[in-house]
Formats: sequence, C-alpha cells, structure tokens
Amino acid sequence: MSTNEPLLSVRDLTTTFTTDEGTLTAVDGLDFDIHEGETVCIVGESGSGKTVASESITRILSMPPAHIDGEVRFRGQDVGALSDGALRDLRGGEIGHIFQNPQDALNHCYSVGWQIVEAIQFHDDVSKAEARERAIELLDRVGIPEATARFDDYPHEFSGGMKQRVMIAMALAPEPDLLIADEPTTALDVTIQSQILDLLEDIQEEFGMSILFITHDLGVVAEVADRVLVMYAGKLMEEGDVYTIFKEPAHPYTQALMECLPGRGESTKGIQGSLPDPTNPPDGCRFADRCPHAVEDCKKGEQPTLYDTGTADHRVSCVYYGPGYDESRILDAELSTGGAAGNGGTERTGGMNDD
Amino acid sequence: MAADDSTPTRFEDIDWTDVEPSGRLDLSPKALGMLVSTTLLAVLFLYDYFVVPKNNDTFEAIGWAYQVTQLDYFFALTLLAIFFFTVVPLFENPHLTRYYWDRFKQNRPAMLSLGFLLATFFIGMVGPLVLSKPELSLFAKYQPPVYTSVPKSAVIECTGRVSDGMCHGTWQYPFGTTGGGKDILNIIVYGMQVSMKVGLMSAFIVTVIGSLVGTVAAYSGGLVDEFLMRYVDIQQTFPSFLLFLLLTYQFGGSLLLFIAIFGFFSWGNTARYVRSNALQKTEEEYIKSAKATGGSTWLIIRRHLVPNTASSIITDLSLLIPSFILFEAAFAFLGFGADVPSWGRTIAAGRADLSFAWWISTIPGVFLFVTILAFNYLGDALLDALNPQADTESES
Amino acid sequence: MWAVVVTFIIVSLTWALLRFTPDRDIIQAGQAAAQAGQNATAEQERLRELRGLNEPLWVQYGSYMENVFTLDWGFSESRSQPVTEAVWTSLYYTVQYSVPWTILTLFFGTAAGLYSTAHQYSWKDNLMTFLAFFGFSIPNFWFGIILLLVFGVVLGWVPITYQTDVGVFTWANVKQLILPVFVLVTGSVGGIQRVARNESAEYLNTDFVKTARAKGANSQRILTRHILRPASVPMSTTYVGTLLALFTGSSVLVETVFSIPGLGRLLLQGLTSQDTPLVLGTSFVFIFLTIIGNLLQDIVYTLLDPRIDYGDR
Repeated sequence: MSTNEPLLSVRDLTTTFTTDEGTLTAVDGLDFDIHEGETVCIVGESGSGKTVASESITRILSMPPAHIDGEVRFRGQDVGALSDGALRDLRGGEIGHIFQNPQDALNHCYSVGWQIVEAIQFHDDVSKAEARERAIELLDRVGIPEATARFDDYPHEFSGGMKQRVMIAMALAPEPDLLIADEPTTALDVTIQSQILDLLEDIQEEFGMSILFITHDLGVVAEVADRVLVMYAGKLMEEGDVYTIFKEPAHPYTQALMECLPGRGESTKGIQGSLPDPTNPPDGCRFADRCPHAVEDCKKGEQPTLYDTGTADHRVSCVYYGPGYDESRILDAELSTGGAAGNGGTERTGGMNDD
Repeated sequence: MAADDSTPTRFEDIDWTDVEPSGRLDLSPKALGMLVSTTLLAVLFLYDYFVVPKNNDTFEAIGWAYQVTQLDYFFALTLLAIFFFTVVPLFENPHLTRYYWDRFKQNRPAMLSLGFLLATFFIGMVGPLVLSKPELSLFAKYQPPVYTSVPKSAVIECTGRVSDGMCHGTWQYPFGTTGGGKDILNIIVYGMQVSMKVGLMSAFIVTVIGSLVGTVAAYSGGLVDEFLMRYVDIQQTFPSFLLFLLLTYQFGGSLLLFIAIFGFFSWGNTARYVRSNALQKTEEEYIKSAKATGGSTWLIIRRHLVPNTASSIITDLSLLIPSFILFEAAFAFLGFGADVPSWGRTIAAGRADLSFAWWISTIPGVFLFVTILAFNYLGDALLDALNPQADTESES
Repeated sequence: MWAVVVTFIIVSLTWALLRFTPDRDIIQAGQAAAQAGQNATAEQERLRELRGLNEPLWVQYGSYMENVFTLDWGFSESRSQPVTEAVWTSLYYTVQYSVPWTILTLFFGTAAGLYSTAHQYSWKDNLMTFLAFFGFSIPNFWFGIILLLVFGVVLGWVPITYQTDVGVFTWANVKQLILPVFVLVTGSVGGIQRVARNESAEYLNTDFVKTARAKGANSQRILTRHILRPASVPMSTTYVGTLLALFTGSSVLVETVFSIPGLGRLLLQGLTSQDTPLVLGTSFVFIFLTIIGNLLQDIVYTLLDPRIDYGDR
C-alpha cells in the first residue's frame, strides 16, 4: 500500500465496559491503518467487537460508559487528546457514520430534511436556506426521487432502503474524509443491498473518501473491500489484501469463515461452538477452543502476535506462522477438508475481480 | 445475561410447583400451615360471631379483655397472606433470597428504609398491646417533649421542672402531649398500626382483585376483556381523591370503609400489569409447552402467570401503599377520618396551637413523612432488584 | 369520542352513587320531624315529592342529565346562591395558583429529569432522586402548615390569611400565593422528574441518539432535541395523569391550609354542610377538568408524534 502517512491510524485500541458480571473487554489491542481513498473491511461474526471498535474511533459509544484505551490518530492528530468541542467537529465533520439499522437510526420526530440540515449546520456556518438547498442536492445525489418534495417528509414515510440513502446523505453532508459504515446493508433486502453498495462506491469515487466498512457478509467484503481485517472476540486475527484473504486465507478462523460461503467447500455446516466469554477470555488464542488445528501452544499465554505470511501486507495471528511451526500443515489441512480455497467459486466472489 | 444455572436468579425462574401444593392429597407443610391457620382464624371468627355475646370481649373466656373487630380479622388474614406468599417463599428459596438480598444490600437508603418500616411494623403491632389508648387528660395538656420547654402559661400542670417561667419536658411524655393532654408517643404508636393497616390491607385487596381481573381479561379476551379494560379506563379517569371523598361523604368514615374504598378502586394498574404480562407470556415457549403437555389453564395461571407478574405487582404496590397512607392522613386532616388515633388527625388538631406548641403537628408529620419516604425508596430499590433486565438491557 | 362516552358514564355513575345510597337530608328531615312530634314518614314523603324522587327512575335520570349538561346545577343552600355561580367565583381563585403550579412543575420537573438522565447513576442523579422523593413524600398539608408557621408567623414575610380583594397581578397576590404554589410544586415536581428521567433514559441508547452523536451534536442538544422530543410522547401521557391525579387532592388540602376560597374548599364546604347540589357541582368541575385533560393529552400525543395520524385514534 501507499507509504505516506495513513489517514487513520489505530494502535492498541482496547475498549472495556464495566458490568455486573465484571469487566467486559469488547476490543482488545486492535491495530490498523486506513489510507486515503481506501476501503477497509472489518469482518467477524456478531459479538466479535467490530462495531465497538468502529464506534471507539470517534468515541460515540453509548451507555454504559465505555473505557477506551490506546491511540487513535486521524491525520496525525491524537483523537483521545482532543477537547470535547474538537471531538465533536471531528464527528460528522471529518468522520461520518452510517449504521446498521436505518429504521432506528433516524429520529422519528423530525423530518429527514431537518436532520440533514442539522448535520450541515453543525459543521458549516451556513444559512438555513443554503443548508436546505444543499440537503436537497444531497438527497437527489443519493437517489431520492423528488428530493425537494420529500425534504419535509418524516422517516416513517420512507422505505428501509430510502432511509439508508437519507443516512448516507446526512453522513456526506459535511463532506467527511472517512466514512464509517457499520453493516449498512444488513437490514436491507438483497436487491436494495447492492444498490446501496453501488451508491457507496460511486460516492467514494466522487468525494474521494476512505471507507471503514463493518460487515459479517463476506460477499459484501468481496464487492467493496481493498483491504480486510478479520476480527474474532475482540482480537485481530488476520489482515491483508482482499485478494489474498480470499485466495489464501491464512488463519483457521478465516478459513472457517470462507467455508461458510455458499459454493465454497462441501458443507455449509458453520463453525462449531460459540464465542468465548468476553468478561473472562481464555488464555492463548481466542479461537483455540473452536479451532480444528489447535495444539498445546494455542492455549497458552497471550493471543499470538501478527506474523507475516510472506505475502505482502498479509499478517496473521496464529502460532503456525510463528517460529518452530510449519504453516503448510494447516494450509494443507484446509485444502483437504475445504477443497479449492483459492479458486473462488461464487458469483459474489467473482465480483471482487471487477475492482 | 448469564444466569447461574443451578439456582433460580429471579422470581420468574422459581419453579412454583415446589412452592404450591401439587394436589389435594399430599399437602406440603406450607399448604398445611396455610390451611390450619386460616381455618383457625375462621373458627375464631365464627366463635366470636355466634357464641360470644355481642358486646363482650372475644377472649373473655381466658380473661383477656380484647374485643376483636372485623378489621382485626381482616388484618389477620392479610398478615397470613403476606406471610405465606412473601416470607415463606423467600425462606424456601435461600439462593434466590440471597441473590435479591445481595442486590438490595448495595442500596443504602433502601436498607435504612426497610429497617425503619420493619420497626414501624413491629412497634405498630406490639405497641398498642402494651401502651394504653391515648386518652384525654386535660391537666396534662401541652406538655412539651423531653429536652424542650414551653411557657408555663400554656400548661395547667407541668410534669417536669419549671424554671424562668418555662415548663420543661420529661420522659413521662417524651414526645409531649396534645391540647387535650393525649400522650403523643401513644398516638404515634397507635398511628403506626393504623398506617400499616391502611397500607397493607388496601394493598391486599388491590392484589387480589387486580390479579383476578387481569387474568380473566387476558384469558377471556374479546368482549369480556374489552369491557373490563374499559372499566379500568373509567375508574382511572375518575379523580381518586374526589371519588374517595364522595364515597366517604355517602357512607361515612370508618377505617374498614377507608380500606375497602382504597382497595376496591385502586386495582386498575395491577390488573393492567397482570393482563399485559399474561398476554405476553402466553406467547412464550414455556407456557406453550405447559399447554401442550396438557396443563390446565388454571394451573398455568397459578404456577406461571401470577409469579411472573409478581415483580410488577410488588413494585406497583410499593407506590400504592404510601399513597394510601397519605390519603388516610389527608382525610383525617380534613376531618373525614375514622375515629382512630391517627397521625393526620393529630396534625390537624395541633394546627391552631403551632405558634407555641410546635410539636403537636410536627412530630406526627415527621413520622408520616419518613414512613412515606421509606416506602418510596423501598419501592425504587425493589424495582431495581426485581427487574435485572432494566440494567442489563442497556449493556447490549 | 371515547372522552364523550367516559364523561357520560362518569356523570351517570355519580348520579347512581347519590341516588341509590340513603339520602341524608331526607333521613335528617325525618328525624327532625319526629323530634318535633310530627309524622316522620309523612315529612320524608313530602321532601321526596318536592325533589322529584317519586318519579320513575328514568325520568329522574333524564332530567338530571339534562341539568348537568345545560349547566343547571341547582341552588346551594349553604351558600345561598346558584351552584354555577359559586363554582365560577371559586374557580377564579383556583386558577390563580393552578396555572403557575402547572407551568412551574412541568418546567422544573422536565429539566430535573433531563439533568438526571444526563448524569445517570452519579451523585447528581442521586441528589435529584432524593429531592424528588422528598417532594412527593412530604405531606402537602403538613408542609404547608410548617412553611406558613415559619415564613408567615415567625418571619412575617408572607401574609397568614388569604386576601380575596387584591388584584391578580399585584405584588400582594404574588406574596400570598408563593407558599401554596411552592408547596404544590414540591409535591408534584418529583413525580414529573421521575417520569422525565425514566422515559428519557430509554432513549439514551437508541440508534438515533447515536446518529446525533456521530453527527457532532453536543450533549445538551442531544438531550433537548433528540431525546426530549421523542420522550415527550410517552411523557405527556404520564404528565397529564400525574398532574390530574394530584389536582383534586392537592387543591382541597392546600386551599384548606392557606384558606384560599377556591374549588377545593367549595367542595369541602359542600361536604361538611351536606349541601348535595354544591358537592355535585364542584365534583363535575373536577371531573370535567380530568376529562378535558385526557382529551388534551390525546391531542398533544398526535402533535408530538408524527407517526400517529388523527385518523388512527
């Protein structure tokens, strides 16, 4: 990837919540970068901490109070050290957010126009009329038919897909440099999903933004991502180029995820077992309990560090890639149980080649 | 959230089959105890009603001069119900009790409140058996509370020390006396009993009627449901204070009547809770499975529904009880009260003398205030302790 | 529509309540006649005749309903004036303290509730909770007496007796109403605070609040715009209920303590002098106020929540 300074750089991000059952670690020592114009996907099953991670960046996590540790730098600026006012300018102004459920993400008491105008006026000192004009332009841009007429409509008068378009318009309003899209298509119908994904891609090109895309849908990943981060139980398991991740998934967890894709492997059996208790994570690799290749070393000490696999920018947190192990053992095993890992069989995964 | 599998951690989780008698023939000790005690009470009532001459003391035969009134019988029944449906289940489920207790303990104001209310309850129960009823004694009027004083001109005879024209209070009347010479300590103690009677007995009626109407509405559905809920609507629209006032106006005021009025016209919310809970729970799996395995509707109601709604009911009651007590005091203050030594009446009585005998209105006022405050804190804590969802929801 | 039905039913029930319970006037008249050596039954019969109690029930009911809705509420013996006139006069005094009471309660209750939400589970929230509990636990009438003693008798800052002859917008009137309004507000603000706190806390974790935060809204704006607005829908319901529930009782007690010749005292006067038309008349006012309040609540509901159409209700 580019060697210049990343747009967003996250180091050792750790987010914990205090609950009755003890301290819950949702995100545990996450490191990643996002460069200008890049689309990064965080993949993982629900409960893996990907949403919490995305919301920790601008600290918009709601109650109960989250404790956020580590360093988040946006354009070199330490987000944790910002004043409340500067943090608010960053939110929306430079980092936009869209959420999973458009049904609830818009306030049902205000017209969509009002909500977009609000977003504009938080960040730009413009008159109401100007803001209104821009809001209508944006609504038009994101594909709301008859934008002028619909400006004063309330969210309940829009369909789910249209609401998500409104959300996108609202996030775009102050022209952010980074858009965090948290499962923006999960709650939508399949046909609408691809429309929204296309819209995001068009807009990214037009505005030159970076996108941090959170999803559990590998099909979506293949369609939009430049780079992929695989998260499991608050930990980063694997990161790499989207081609590499799909062609040569290195971590057993990623391999298992790939197997769940329809058309890949023989079975759609899913991954056996469940996520570890976030208040009391096990020693060693978080995935060890569910891993078909787990050995003694996997259940000792800390989560393994991210080892280079040999492919460029591809790193994986698995002992097999560390000293004293031979990674081909699990790659072979993968091939024997899962079949052609590299041949990419579905239409959706085929779509990634269009990128 | 993760609940310990081995022990039920909520009211909702108790297997009430253990708690309730499972059939006519094999009676659990609890059911037996309940049966025996209610029967005894009934026998006593019948004995009093048919055998003992009308104006004689109930326990004349054993030489105890105590006339048991209808109110007392009803109160005894209420206490039995509280004992068997609150105290015994808690005792039978030590794990659960522990769990609640641990949650509850963290709330210090609520602990204090519970302590105060328990003390009030026991003093109110035992006190009147020991202390004589507050009596008029004109010579002892306006005695100041201990450690305070009043100008000598206000009193006829000062029981304490007199210096500089001031009469000082003594331990004979630690809270002083009223303008009629009644001992305020006695009034306070008797007032505790009155307040507890009003609060608990009305709450008992509310629970019984509310649960009944709620379940009937939910299970009948259709017109019956519509009719009952519309009735609740109307009952709740009618300003309760006005209703109580009009009813007292029409029927005169006795304590039993007060309790009946409060109880019979305040069950609206309880019925709503039970109904909505019933409707919701019937959709849930375990009721479906209970039905599928051939459980009768009645059994389902008794074993699942009523206990499941317990936390809503208890919370609602903890807010109703203080309002009943406050209503009773307010009525007594307005002069519609029953002829019992109550706090409200004493507040009204001392009003005219406030400028020099401040204690007459103030002391019962403080007790009234603290009692109601304690109930409110207790209710708030119960809401927190009985509804763990309330705070786990926000964690997701 | 439902409000009309409720009015009808409640007014009917009130009639039934008074009609089917022994009439004290008639019993007393009978006793009086018996004491005077006359025929008690004859005297009672005469009185029944006079009051139209011998007519068929439905005729009685019909004329009663007609009278109620044509505001022909009869003549008050104890006040020697038509009931409607008495009601109007006292309403004048009741309105003077109820309006500031309602406004102040709504304002401070909501503000305190939002403040609690903003500082949930901190000492500030606990303090607000204590103040709320203090407010609705302290018996209105007793608190009034104590305040009147301290500020009226001891300090002499406020008049002890209520003067009816001062103008509404005069300093003297403010001075004499300040304590009753204060007592009433303390009694009701707590309930409103609890409602505002609990309802708005429900919205604290909603997605749209998160959206607002992600847009860059500050916490004050989130509270006053994004939380208060949607929360005001359920709040309004409970607000109306809470205030109406307190209204009758509070006005009777506070008017008694501060000797304000308002509706509450009128009701009380009717009760103590057993002036049934007066009792009925004042009761109707309280009942109508309640029903209007409920109606108002429905209208406010539709205004506040754009998702509800008028047609839906």
